[in-house]
Amino acid sequence: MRETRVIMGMPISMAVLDEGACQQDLDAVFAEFVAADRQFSPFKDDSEISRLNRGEIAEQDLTPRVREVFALCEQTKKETAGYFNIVRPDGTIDPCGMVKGWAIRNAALQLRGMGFSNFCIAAGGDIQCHGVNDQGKDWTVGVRNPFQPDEIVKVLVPKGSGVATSGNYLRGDHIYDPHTGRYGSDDIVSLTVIGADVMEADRYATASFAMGRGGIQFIESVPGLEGYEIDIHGMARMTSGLEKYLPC
Amino acid sequence: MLRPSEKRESLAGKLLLSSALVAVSLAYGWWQRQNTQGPHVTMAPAAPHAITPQASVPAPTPSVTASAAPAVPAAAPDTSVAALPRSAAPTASKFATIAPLQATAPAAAPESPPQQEAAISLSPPASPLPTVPSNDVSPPLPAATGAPSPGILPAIPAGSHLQDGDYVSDRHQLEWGDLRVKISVHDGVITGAQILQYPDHRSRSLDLSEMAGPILESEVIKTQHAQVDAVSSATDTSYAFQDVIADVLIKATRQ
Repeated sequence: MRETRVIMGMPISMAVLDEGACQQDLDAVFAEFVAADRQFSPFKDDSEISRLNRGEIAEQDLTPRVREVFALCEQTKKETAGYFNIVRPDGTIDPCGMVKGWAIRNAALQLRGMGFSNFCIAAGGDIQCHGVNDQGKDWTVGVRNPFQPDEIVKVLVPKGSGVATSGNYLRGDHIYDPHTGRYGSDDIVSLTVIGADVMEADRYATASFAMGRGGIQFIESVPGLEGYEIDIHGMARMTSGLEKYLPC
Repeated sequence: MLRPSEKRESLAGKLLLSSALVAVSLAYGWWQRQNTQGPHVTMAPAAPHAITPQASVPAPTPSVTASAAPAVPAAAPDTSVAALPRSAAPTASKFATIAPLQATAPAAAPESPPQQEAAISLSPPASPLPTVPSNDVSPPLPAATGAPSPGILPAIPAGSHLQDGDYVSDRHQLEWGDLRVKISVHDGVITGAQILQYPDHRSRSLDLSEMAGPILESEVIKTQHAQVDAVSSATDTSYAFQDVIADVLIKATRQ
């Protein structure tokens, strides 16, 4: 079963290769993405986040799911010396930097809970695979060329780990550095992170990209994370353990 | 009634006392001036915010400390994060050993979500990290005089030449690991230097490793022509829709 839907303003592709997977299974997982979007999107007027930003909800009235995401955001903020910060310059809250990876991870857990072992979920450039692909081999993930978007420049074999990329080459400077108050990140245009799962990869990719040149060093310093950074000159730097995720 | 001699003694005593008071006042004034000038000179470089541990990391370096609670709480009780396969080194457990930077309390974050949520909502954006004090505010080093202190290598005598060959240094123990280098000499000139071993305690050696030399492999990006199952990139709607179409085409070809 393969299907792609546009949710959260991005295409979400799901491939579930186990026998017995049916449309209802995919519908159930996609429904969770829709629910997350409805709850967390700062672009939807009736979302919980929008109502919180307008002061229509007291903090003690937030739902457990929002509390969970906020706790993860706060934890990440501490772990990254404040480089991950969901408080925008205007004082509003935008947890999108966490929600995407969180939702994909939840979807993967949901599929596992359904008994599926071979699947791949890709949403907005973040990827979580499990098991093997339709050829019985490890799933492979390409890192998009930031200068030629129809090309890939690196092939990764995540083997169950999550992959996420942050950058400013496609959507503009959408990564905010809370320390400098600037958007964008020196001359780094792309930073791909591999983590234990896609949520780990996503939250650290967002924060470390905001660190600029120091981001890949930060990824190097955190056990369990590997990274591949591309600068504006087309030079890439990779962490010392990335090799284990490269094809043989 | 005082006698004249007693009057003179009393007057002399008063004069002596007055002089002593004036002297004390002058001394106090001088001492006060010294103390008001001193801190401007000596305290400024040692401003507490300028030399906090965070300030020493251009890119933050996490410290490894024992942490009781996992850094990432499971999303659902019946399908924990551990349900997903891990790489050779399980990151979830590793994260459990990583404390947030310096004085932060990692375990508290997942354990008290309401408080954290309040912190997120109420706290303004984090203030910029203080920068590393620059050399111009540091007190100047005293000029070297006399014999070199123990541990300082003697200077190479003038006029001596380097012998050709490869030379490997002893292992130098640094605070966070060992450092060993090799230099190659050809025709009396150093033609190469290689770091054989550098401090590699990953979670604490970031700054030191950066000083010791590049530890990250670099390459010029080049197009790969391999078939992949998915593409990772920064989010963008326009290209994302291309992916949608590509997926649809793939789906079409497989039916």
